[in-house]
Order: sequence, then structure tokens, then C-alpha cells
Amino acid sequence: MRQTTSHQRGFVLITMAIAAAGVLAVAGLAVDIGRVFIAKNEIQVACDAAALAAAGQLDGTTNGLSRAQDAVSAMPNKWNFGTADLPAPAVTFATSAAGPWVADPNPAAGYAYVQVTAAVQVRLYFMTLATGQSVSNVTSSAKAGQIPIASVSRGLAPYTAVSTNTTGPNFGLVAGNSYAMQWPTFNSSRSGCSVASPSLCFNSLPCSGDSAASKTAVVANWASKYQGYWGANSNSLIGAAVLDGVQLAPLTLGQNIDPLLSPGDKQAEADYLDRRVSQDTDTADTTPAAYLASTRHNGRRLLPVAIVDPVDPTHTNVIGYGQFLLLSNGSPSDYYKKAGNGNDPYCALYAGPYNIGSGGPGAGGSSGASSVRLIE
Amino acid sequence: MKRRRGVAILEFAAGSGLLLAIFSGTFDFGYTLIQYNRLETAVAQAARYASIVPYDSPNTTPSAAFLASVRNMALYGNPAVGHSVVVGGLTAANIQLQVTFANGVPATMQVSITGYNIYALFGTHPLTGKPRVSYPYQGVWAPA
Repeated sequence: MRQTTSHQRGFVLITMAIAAAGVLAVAGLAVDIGRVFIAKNEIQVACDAAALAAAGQLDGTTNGLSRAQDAVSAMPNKWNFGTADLPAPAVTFATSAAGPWVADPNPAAGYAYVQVTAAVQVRLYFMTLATGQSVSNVTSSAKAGQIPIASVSRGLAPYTAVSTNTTGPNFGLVAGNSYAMQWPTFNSSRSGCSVASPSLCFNSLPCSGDSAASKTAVVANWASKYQGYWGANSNSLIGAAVLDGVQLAPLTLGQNIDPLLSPGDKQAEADYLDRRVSQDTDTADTTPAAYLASTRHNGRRLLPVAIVDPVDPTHTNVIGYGQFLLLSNGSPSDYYKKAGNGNDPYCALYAGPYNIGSGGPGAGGSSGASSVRLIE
Repeated sequence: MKRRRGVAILEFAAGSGLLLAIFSGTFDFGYTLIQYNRLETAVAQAARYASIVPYDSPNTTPSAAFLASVRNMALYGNPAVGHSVVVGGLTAANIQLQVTFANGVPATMQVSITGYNIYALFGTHPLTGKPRVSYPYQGVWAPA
């Protein structure tokens, strides 16, 4: 009888103790795992942002790679409830989303994908009692790249560059050479004007980089109808198109742009080009290489346009996209405008493929246009 | 026998008090952590959204429409006004958007939570400037 009594007396306390141990383990799980989950979320977000920032810097050169590295270190996102900097994330590059991932590729041509991996150690307070494990290693990684796009609905300026070479990413254009964004006035009655000697058909000479094939295509198929402009005719819409990248219509590879081409309002077009140039903090550099190397450039002088091929008088096809460096004489209002009496072309220097949102050209893809996106 | 039964109740009372304390402590921590995690996700989504849509202001003060859509993105996970907020009691005023320019063009979009309290069982956890997430701006700038 005595024995049974003593058993009964301890019973509740013993079950309670066992239950308490179980509940304490659950409490530990809730707190420790909760903190691990938050750390995971925080470093995943930090990796995503860093990978996007890095991918935006890639341009197929080793300079682009080091700018990408810098962009990762410059990201301000933190972890541990927003209190701690991420320990130096590992940055690797690849030419495709599938890898292989290389830390320091040289030459860098074609490297348009970046992976950022960060690892942190979360201290465990309760789990350590149960398992003896005092820290949890939390690793996250993010991959981002410049994904080629066929269609652009926002950002293209209402001009075009002409090329008859349909091979991307450069379509036969040479970086640093000068191409017409808007062609000089066509005049068929000038002496010597023929499809065979197209330069003589314009009141002013075309831009120096435009190929003979491009000039022939323009003379044969555009003649006096178009000069390469495809925006609206009203002043405010031209402003929105040149300064804000508001397109008249989305453009897609292979699309016939002929119905959109129009003569436009040359004074307004020139005026807004000059305004766009004046928004750049580097109006002095005269070559794309010097411009892109300058730390003061902000990308406003880079004009993204469609590259088109006038194949016949009613078909001008979009074959790709590219970015062109607008010229400047340092004045905010009279470079293109002075040249813009209609006889003169608006020339700009080819800088490279168009990557939406970058301050410079992209790493290039078949279409010459890309946007930065996360892959996983 | 009566006396013994009373002992069991006392034991249970003492033990369950302890259990209840552990339980509510767990809830307190767990709830706070879950809310913080939800806010982190909401803020990250809003910052990502802000970083890719056209930024229609010439300076670091965003336009009313831009600010509203970013706040809605954090509140509802959608740029338009939705039905239920992601975390109870969160309002548009709690969501701060800070735009940073570099060389005169938008460079970074930072979204953070300020002035929001997580009401847990044993206390209030005020959030000032966190969670906070920055994304590089990669949209089309529309200054005019």
C-alpha cells in the first residue's frame, strides 16, 4: 500500500517533467527554426538583389565583370534582423543559365549570367541542448542574367538604325562608328542620284558608318517617304517618346515597321534629343569607349533604337535592337537642333546591344536586346 | 486518500503553470518571427516591383502614383488595392520608399517598414526602419 501511494504521488510530476522536456524542445524549434527561416529569407533577398545588380553591369568585357563584383559589394542589404552585413558573397559568371560557373573568366565575351552565393551562421539557443549543434549554416544563392528578348514595349526611342545584316548581336554595326538615327533629306533630282550611288541622293551626306548596302536600301525603299522616324507627330508625344521611352507601339523581331514610320516633326525631334543629352552628367566624351569608362556617365546619352532592314517599299522589318551614343557639343539645346533643318542626318555612335535598365550596353544576345531577370 | 488526491492537483497546478509559461513564450516568439518574416517578404516584393517599373519623376521624390503602387505591392502583393493586407494592421503610411539617385538618374529603390508594432503576448515589438530591402533600379526612367 505504501509503495503504491508513493508511485501515485510522483506520477503527475514525472509526466509533467517529461511533457515539459517535450514542450521545451518544441519551443526551441519554434525560436531557433524561426530565426533560421528569417536568416534564410534575408540572405535570399540580399542574393537576389545582388545578382540583379551584378547582371546589370555585364557587357562582355572584364571591366564589366569587375563592375559586377563591385555592384555586389555595394548592395546595402543586411541579415540578422537587418543588423549584420553579409560576409563577402561568392560571385561567379557563366555564358548560359546552366553554367559552368567561373569566378574570373577571361576573355569575358558572352558572359551574361551571374550567380551570387552567400553563407551565414545562425546561432542556435535551444537546439544546442537537444542536439549539441550550436550553429546552423544557412546558404542562399541567386542566379540572374541578361535574358535576350524579342519584343520591347517600353524604352525604345522613336528612331531607327538601318542595317541589311541580320546577324545579332551587332548586325554588322561597329562600335564607335557613326550611324543615322534619322536620315538626311532625300532629293531624287540631285545629279548622279541612283540606287547604285545612293550618297548622291541626299541633300547632306549620310552618317559615316552607314554601309553602302544600307544607303542603297534606304534610297530604293524609303526614298522621300521616310527618314527613319516612327513616333507620333505631336510635340508632347515626341517628348514622351524621346525622354521617357514611351513607345507608339511595342516592337517585335521580324515586325514590319512600315505602317509606323512617319516624317515626324523634325524641330521637336531634334530639340528633345538635345534635352536628353543634357540630362547626362558626361557630355564631354566623344567615343563610346571613353564615355563608358567615365564614372560620370549615367546612360542618358545612350539611345536605344530598333535596327531595321528596308526590304521593299512597303516592308521595313525590325531585325534587332541596339544602343547609340548621342553626340553633344556641351550645349543643352543646339547640337541636333541646329543640325535639324531636315537636310542633315542625326548621327549617333553605335555603342552595343541594348540591356533594359543598364547604364551601358548589354553582353549581347541574338536579338541585341535583353532584360535582367532572376533565373531561379 | 483525500489528501493524496489534493497533492496530485497541486502537482498538476505547479506543472501546468510551467507548461503554460513555456507555451505562451513559444507563441510569443514564434508569432513575432512569423510576422517579421512576412514583412520581410512583403518589403522585398515591393522593392523588386519598384526597381523594374518606369520611374516617372525627375527627382528622388516619387510621384504619388508610383509611391501608391509600391505601397500596395507591400500591403497586398499587388500594385492595385487588394482585399486583405499581408500582415494585420499594416497601413500604407508604415511603408517607406527611399529612392537614391547616382549621377542624376535613379540607382536604388529601398523599401522599409517604419512605425509598425508587432503585438505579441508579452510585449510590443516596434519596427523602425526594418525590415528594409534595396534593389538596384533597372527600369526605364521617365523624367518628363
